[in-house]
Amino acid sequence: MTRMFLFSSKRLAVVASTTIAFGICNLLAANPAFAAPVSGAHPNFSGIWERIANPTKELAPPAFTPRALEALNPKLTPGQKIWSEHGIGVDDVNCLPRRQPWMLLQSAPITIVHDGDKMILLYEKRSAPMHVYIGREQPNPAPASLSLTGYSVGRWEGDELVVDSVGFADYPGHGSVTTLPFLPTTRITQRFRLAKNGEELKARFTITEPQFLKTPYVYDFTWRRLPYATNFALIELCDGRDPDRLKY
Amino acid sequence: MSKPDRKGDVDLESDRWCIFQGMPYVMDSAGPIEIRQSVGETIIIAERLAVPRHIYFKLDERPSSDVYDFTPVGLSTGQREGDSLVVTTDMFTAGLGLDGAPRTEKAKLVERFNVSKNGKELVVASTWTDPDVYKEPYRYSWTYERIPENYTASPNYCDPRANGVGNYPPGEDPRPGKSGN
Repeated sequence: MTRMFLFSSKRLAVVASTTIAFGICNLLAANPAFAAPVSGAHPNFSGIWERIANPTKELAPPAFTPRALEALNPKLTPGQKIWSEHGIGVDDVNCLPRRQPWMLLQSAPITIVHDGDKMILLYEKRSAPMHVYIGREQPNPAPASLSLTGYSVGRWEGDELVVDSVGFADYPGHGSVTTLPFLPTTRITQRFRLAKNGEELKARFTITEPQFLKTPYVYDFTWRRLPYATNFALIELCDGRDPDRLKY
Repeated sequence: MSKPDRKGDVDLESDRWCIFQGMPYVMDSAGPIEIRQSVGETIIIAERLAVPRHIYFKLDERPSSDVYDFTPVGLSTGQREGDSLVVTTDMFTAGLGLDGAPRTEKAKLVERFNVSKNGKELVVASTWTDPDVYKEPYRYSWTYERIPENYTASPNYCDPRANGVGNYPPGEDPRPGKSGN
């Protein structure tokens, strides 16, 4: 039976000479602050990352347009009002997947696997992986087909990885800023860098949405590294058939 | 126990409800798989309604079942043996296994990953054991073709309401027979 798989071409060489690579990994394990760079030229962001206490530093608060204020206070149907009063959202009861930026900012850790020219960010609760294609060009204008996670490309500026995401579809759930819907013109940029000898990951988020924000919303966010030796993702499963999800 | 409504290892009821499914579905019916490696773990993700797999290399010890909630993909640890990656997985929740056979909490899976044909193919040899299901270990091998690096993962979005199921606000279910329709 033949199936399809993706596999980093750079990693192919590693797999072929695993005894040597594994030896190097053992030496590095003695220093948990060090993540072996894949390319050798840039930092590697692989790791399990947990947000620090007070992780957010706003550099430019959201400056909402009148349209945004309207979108933040939508007119609800009677049934929606009942749910809203009890903190129930249509995305929660139907287990709709979450996405960035919200999923990157939560108390549950995120997993980053940075492998050559690809970086994947995973949130352990129900969500879609964030795929970052390093070295690709961002289509201009934004991609015609919109999706939950949009399309993310990355480029290096020194030791910072600048990730630029566009092409978000408007689905129920958390928005680009609180509950603001995603629009085709929404753009999210993160500048990732390591700090404190690789023990911290920092990202400067810039949310641009001309229809909702008069000026870009900018904030810094910090995570700390969790050791691989004692940490693993806790998988949250969501089942919309569970009647407890509708209880209030 | 009623037989699950299934197609191969796809639980059709879970599929309608957009519930993420586990093993062996992730490696079989969820579309292309993407394998990415780092020092501490390798992840395997598939495009459609699949729980991500984390294969850990550096865990000091496997957690006990007292602290780890079993999942449809279990808990996987890996080690390299020559050119192979050997992955051991247990702590599965009960669910749908290969070809509709049950997957129970006693299931254990050992997989051996090898690339071949100059990296163009990936061969995964799997061995399932489960004293409640199999009289002897169930072994099979799957071969995957490598996709070019310029591939872009297909976005997949599933809303159960689009499949004729799902939950609606009180009094607002549009389906016949619901909410007074």
